[in-house]
Amino acid sequence: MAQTRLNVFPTRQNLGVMKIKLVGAKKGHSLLKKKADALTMRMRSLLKQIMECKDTMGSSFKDGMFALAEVKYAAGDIKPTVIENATTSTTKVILHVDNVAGVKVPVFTAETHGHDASTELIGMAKGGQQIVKAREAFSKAVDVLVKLATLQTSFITLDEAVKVTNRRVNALDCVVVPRLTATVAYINSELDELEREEFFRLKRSQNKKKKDIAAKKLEDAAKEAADLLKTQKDADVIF
Amino acid sequence: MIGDDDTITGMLLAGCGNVDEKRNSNFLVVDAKTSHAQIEEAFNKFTKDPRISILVINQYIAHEMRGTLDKWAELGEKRPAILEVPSKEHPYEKALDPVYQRTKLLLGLRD
Repeated sequence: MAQTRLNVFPTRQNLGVMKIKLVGAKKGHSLLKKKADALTMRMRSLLKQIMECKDTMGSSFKDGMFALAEVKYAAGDIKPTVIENATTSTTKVILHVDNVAGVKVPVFTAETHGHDASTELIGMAKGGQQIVKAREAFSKAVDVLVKLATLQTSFITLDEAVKVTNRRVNALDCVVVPRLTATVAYINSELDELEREEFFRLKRSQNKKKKDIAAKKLEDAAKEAADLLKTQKDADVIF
Repeated sequence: MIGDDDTITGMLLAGCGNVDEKRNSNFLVVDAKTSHAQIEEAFNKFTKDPRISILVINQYIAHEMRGTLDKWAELGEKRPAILEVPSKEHPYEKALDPVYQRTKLLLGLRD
């Protein structure tokens, strides 16, 4: 790797900064990891529900189609009438927002207001019962659809969120933390090196001083000796 | 909703149809005469409508315009949720549903 450590000047202050950053990165990593786990857990439970729901949807639509065929048998072709008479919808979808570990997930709920007046009178002459049956069957299908829509949307949202979070976790784990660790190690080694140099310098100057002092002492002693020889005047010896 | 007449009739019976004063409907009945461009136009209209949060498409129609659907999915829009439903002539085929496929992939299931 070209950039295994951050490009900083190795000072004590920078060491402190880097250490704080490292702690922050580690904390962030553990938090994000927790978030990713929570999201994955939620996702797992969603997956099962989606599978079941898709199966239910298949069968409920089959029921609906069957009921519709019965209607056709009993009341004739009502399709054009129904399609032409459509006005305001009675079943509406209401959107809530759910929060999963900081990820906003939409939740749909179906709400039915009153009864559809436009199709109320269809099948009055014949086949009314079958139409009611078909209506019920399709209402059930719509309920399943709404549930499925919720699941599917949250699934897609969570899928994306899990991917992003995992990428962040990995980035922190594999790039940011090692880089910071390397930087801290680098600053530490540089500081140690400086300290050793300083120590060596001190020792050397100390030695030098000691040597100087010793030399001076020797010199002084020699001088003193010389002085002694010079200044000491023995009394003349008389024979 | 985009679907054949049976599916649309059923959904309308359940009270999902909406036609406003300008005769703008929230459904499109697809038959043999409906062109591809018409379906795409309806799809674009429905996906842009802020009042629509669930878009129901018959699976065989969705399969025909898979390219458009995939492109739309790549945009990362979450509204409306697109649901592919079976129709009368075409039974539900799980193998063609992208969401179902992804689910299976994540669960590690195989046929």
